[in-house]
Amino acid sequence: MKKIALIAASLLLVFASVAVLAQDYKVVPLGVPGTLWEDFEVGVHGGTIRSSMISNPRTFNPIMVRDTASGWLDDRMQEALILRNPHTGVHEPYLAKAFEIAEDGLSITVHLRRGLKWSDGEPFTAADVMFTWVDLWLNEDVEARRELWTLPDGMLPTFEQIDDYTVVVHFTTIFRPAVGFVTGAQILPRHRLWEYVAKLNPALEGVCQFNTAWGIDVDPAAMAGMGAFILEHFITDMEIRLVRNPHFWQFDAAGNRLPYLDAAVVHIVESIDVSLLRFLNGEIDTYGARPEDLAILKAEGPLRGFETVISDVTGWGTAFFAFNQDVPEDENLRGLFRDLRFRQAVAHSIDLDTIIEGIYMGFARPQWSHVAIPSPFFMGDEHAIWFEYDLDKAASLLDEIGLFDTDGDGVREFPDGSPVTFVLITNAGHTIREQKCLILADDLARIGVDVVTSFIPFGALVGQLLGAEYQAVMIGLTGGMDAHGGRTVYHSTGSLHFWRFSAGGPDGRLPERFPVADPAEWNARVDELYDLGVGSFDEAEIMHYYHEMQIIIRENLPLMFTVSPLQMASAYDRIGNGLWETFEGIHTGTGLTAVTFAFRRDL
Amino acid sequence: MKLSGLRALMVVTCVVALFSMMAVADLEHIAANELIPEISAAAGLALASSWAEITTEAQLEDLAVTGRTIGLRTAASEALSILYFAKTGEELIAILISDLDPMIRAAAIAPAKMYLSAMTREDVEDFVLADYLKELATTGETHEMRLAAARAHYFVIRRTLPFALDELKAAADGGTELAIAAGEVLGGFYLFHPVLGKTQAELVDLAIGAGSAGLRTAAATALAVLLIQSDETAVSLQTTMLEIFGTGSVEHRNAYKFALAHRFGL
Repeated sequence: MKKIALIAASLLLVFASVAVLAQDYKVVPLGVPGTLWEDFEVGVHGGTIRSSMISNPRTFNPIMVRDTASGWLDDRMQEALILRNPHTGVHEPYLAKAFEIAEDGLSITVHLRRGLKWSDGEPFTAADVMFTWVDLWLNEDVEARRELWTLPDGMLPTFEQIDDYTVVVHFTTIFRPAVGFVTGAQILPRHRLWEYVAKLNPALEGVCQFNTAWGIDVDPAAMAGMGAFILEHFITDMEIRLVRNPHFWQFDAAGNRLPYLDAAVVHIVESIDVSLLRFLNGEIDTYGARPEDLAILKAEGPLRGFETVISDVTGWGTAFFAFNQDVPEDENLRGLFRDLRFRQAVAHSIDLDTIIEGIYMGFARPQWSHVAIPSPFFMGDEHAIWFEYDLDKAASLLDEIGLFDTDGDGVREFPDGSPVTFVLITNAGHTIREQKCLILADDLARIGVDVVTSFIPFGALVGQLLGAEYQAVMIGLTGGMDAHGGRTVYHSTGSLHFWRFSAGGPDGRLPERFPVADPAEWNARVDELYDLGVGSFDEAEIMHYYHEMQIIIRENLPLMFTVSPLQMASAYDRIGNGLWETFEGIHTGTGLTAVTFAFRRDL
Repeated sequence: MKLSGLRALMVVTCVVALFSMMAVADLEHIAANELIPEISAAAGLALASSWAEITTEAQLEDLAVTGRTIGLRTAASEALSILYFAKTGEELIAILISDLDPMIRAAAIAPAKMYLSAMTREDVEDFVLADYLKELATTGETHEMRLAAARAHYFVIRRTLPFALDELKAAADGGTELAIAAGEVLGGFYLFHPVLGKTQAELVDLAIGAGSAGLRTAAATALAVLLIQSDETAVSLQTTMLEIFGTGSVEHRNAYKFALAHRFGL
């Protein structure tokens, strides 16, 4: 009874705050019992938080972002209409006040919050939304990644402005991910960017300049955002300094405008080692801990005043071995990699227990599905198809294929007498991936498969991957909440279908080098399921499609998943809400702290 | 443990720490007058950040040598260490290999470890930092130089340690600087590792009775953390320190020293 009264009183406080604000501001009930935010604290204004990243941003233009560093900064400075709450998986209005999906599913009406201002004080209205959608995303001169906006019938959404605070998205066919991908796109300020768009600015004489607008040399005064922070300066290889957006539209339950911090500084450091050293020395406040850091962090944290927490939630990414089924100039390997029995043999040779215990010290979960474990689309381990570690079974499958060690040297041969050997690459310096490669190579050697491990620079690895020049790879992909995001990898025409680009048909990546092949029957079904998965808002129906897809992909092993590590984070006690914010950073795939709710205790 | 539980624990710890913090004058009194050396040194550790703000480098270098008690010399040396973070790597190495007083050389260990852990040598072909540091940890001119290099070595190779724990345990079983540094890292594993994890009672036994300084250091490192996270007060820690004065091992007593320094507001 007492608890109910407390919750009621707290909610009353929230509603009172909203009433006092008399605006469409968003109130985040930090510290309010009974809410998602009960573990947070109401903070105090002032101070700076410091973190680090190991690469420079490449752009401050959200539509041009292709790298993690730029993406993290962008997320601090810009906001979307609707986003999926990472803790609940439910879509929530952000810059939108509310939204409705039409009964026929062919439109989404979005009501904007009223009275909001850009960081430079200009009003935020539907004109900005229409500018972002129509003049930028639908503008063919703009290098926007429209792949995930494309409807199953090949069309793109259309947009309508009803009034200053209401917009409608129309679809020719139901497109469920629109809520995440279209209304989840960050909204940009028309008054700051229209002049770079040729169709709006005759002075450009038809030459669009938007793709290079807001580059790293941008004058911060020329920018505006709806995010918690705005750019103050960026010094290459040194630091990025963000300062509080004075017009930010989120408040805590006590009526304090967020963010609490005056500034967030991100140091650009040359390596993760330097980042950890700086954290240990107290120069930065938060750190995205990794398993190999735990011994140091756990031993030093209490003395130095920081905490390292290991969540029971895994990250969003996947890590896997993959074989290039289009491998050039080697028909033996190409045929082998396309043989499901070989991939099953490899799957039976992956010693997940050793990987989890030996590399992650138990702080990881085995991964079988291509959908990220925290995603609401993940169908759960109770439906998992496991390829248990069994080298005898793996050897039997190789026998079945007709691979035998005919010359007694310990390595099996193809029927033409050439040895079964391939090169397994991963990015040099990523010790965990290197170890996984060594563990697999050791096990495959025991069943007569010779694996040459090669650790190469990340850029070279990506080049080999996208050029389909590699033989085998150990790598990972970041993931997201919506399973539709995997379309780029698993749909036969996906731009990251790097394990068999040739399946993409005429639109595939390498038609000039390989005979165009129809996708395998199972991949064709996956393609179909991607279309079905976006064609309904009925949750039970779409889950059925994505569950079938997870089973099909697992059965056919285009990628052989390994494990997903638990999320870890470290933050100094002097930062309030620091650990939670760091986790939020990891949720978004950056490992950096999100800073909207963080505050300094030591002011 | 759930995040909410950890949050609650952290808040409680912070509150306890705040109320336990002592004034600088009180700490100086303890550092200058306490007869139990570990208690005096704990006060010195807690004083360091204050002294670093109000005392010059020259004054600290003098005090680190001439301070009347171990507490005062520790405070000066630790404060000096904070100031030394502003020095270049070359300056730090020069201090480490100099014939200055060990308390001054000790001040350069932590900043030098930071420098060494991230150093590059473009003038040396096929330079492998971990190998260079291991060599330096063996051949360095002074104990402090070797310890800084050893700590940097284990920092640099930490990625390989989770799958080489038997080697780490073996490396810690000795009395060299490399063994001490290995022990410090091993102590971290004692705190969370599903196989290596140890109870407080086991850590006490090891910190006192393990057969090598490296293994005793490992246990003491972990024990200090458990003491900090326990409900032991500054008073109860001092009571224990009085009881174990001159007994057991240096490493065991050092665990209490660090825990008490934390209670004093380190």
